[in-house]
Amino acid sequence: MVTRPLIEYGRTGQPLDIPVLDVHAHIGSFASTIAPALERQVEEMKRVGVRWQIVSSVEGIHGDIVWGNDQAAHAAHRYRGILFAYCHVSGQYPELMESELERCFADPVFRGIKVYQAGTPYDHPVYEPVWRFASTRHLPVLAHTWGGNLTGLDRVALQYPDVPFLMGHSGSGFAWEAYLEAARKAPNLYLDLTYSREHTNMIEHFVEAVGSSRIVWGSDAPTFSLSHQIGKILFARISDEDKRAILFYTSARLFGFQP
Amino acid sequence: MEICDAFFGVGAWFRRDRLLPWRTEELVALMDHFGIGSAVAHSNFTAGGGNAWHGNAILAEIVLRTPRLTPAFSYTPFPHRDSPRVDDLLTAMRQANSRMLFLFPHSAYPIRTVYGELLEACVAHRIPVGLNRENLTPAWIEELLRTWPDLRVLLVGCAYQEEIWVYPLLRRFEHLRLCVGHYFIPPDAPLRFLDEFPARRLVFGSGLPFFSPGGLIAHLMYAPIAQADREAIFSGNILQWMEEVRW
Repeated sequence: MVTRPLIEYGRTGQPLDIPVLDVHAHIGSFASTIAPALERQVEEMKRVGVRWQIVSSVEGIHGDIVWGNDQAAHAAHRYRGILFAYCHVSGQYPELMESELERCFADPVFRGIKVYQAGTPYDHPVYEPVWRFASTRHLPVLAHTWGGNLTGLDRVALQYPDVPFLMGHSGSGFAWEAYLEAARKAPNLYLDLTYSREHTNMIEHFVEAVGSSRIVWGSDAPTFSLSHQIGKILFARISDEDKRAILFYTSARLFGFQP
Repeated sequence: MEICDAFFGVGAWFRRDRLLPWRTEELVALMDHFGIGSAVAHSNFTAGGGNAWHGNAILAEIVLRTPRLTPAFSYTPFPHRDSPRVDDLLTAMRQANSRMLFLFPHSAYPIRTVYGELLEACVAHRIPVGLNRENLTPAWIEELLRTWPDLRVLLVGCAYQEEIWVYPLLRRFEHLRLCVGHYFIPPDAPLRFLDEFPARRLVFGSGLPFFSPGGLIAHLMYAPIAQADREAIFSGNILQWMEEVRW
């Protein structure tokens, strides 16, 4: 039973004792930064009180798709029950899509599909096998988006209303209106708050506009700090009930997690 | 935990997004919500591209009514004979108890020629100078640090993957301090940073009203670092710099 207001956890640096699911995390390093070791990433989860993290491989996103999915699976097996994996597929490598989806989802550590804006719009026909697979298997899709540019994700969401699509980095570039407009049109589009910046009043406005049942939380760790990302929610001027929904209950419903 | 926000804008500005707060009372309410006791305030009007002299006047009026704010004036060194001079700025700063200067230059300006007189005065009076990385190149910042080795420089607005040039600058130039902003959010950042640099090189600055400070506060509170280091970052370092200003 949680009795303290959630903002107090952020003010004092105490680990959270509520269920928290991070639906947007990675393993690996981008070009201009070297991530700390995976055990440091998991240590930070424990320090903050994040119970579960669903990861995709940065190197996989950068083109080494098969190796990247292997690494995500390896991390999830190493930290079984704490880390889970996304299967990353890319419109730039359509020849790998179906085989990777079949291969990944034979392993139960994979819980969703990750796609990235790499040149092919999400509503390009090349992606259709992916959306069909997600629909058949009841899998959520986390799609990288940026600055209000959805590159067709909003149209795909309307075509596949049974697939939950997470709009990665919702509100990035302070382009909050485009994300809200899309979410209002397609009830299966969810706002993913993962974003390096924290525009004042934006989270509060999102909650007011579409409700916390349409908003999920992710950290982008290890690219960003997990504690920074969760602080945005803990300090937001919204109710604790909304904070708990964003940190767990909305995404738990989509990804099939139990508290 | 005392928090003094070193990167805090007040007043209206040109291209405001309508979600953003701008009235002083809104900002003070946010300070209370986040537990920020005081702030070194610069003018949003100037930061947003407005005339620095007018921005300073707006700022002076706001801080008079809001004792929790210490003004950080700004200055644009115009070349005309009838433009305000550096001495005029220093007089205005003394009168308003301004103990920091926030500059919003552009890398296109030749630094020694345009800013030389101003920055010499800042060195002489130990006035800390805040610089927003946004319109600056790393090479321009490096030239500034090399040219004025005694200038107290606070760099704000660095992004999270800019360690690649910020760390080498920090190693080479002891007089550079870094604002915990977007740059400072990779996991283990306080630990990795403090492995190499003392805590006095870091200064808390939220970026209000554009950016909300909750994430940064949590980032520092959850970091397994010494309490003394945390206090220095949250307030001690910037307060010390402002105390050391000499007129």
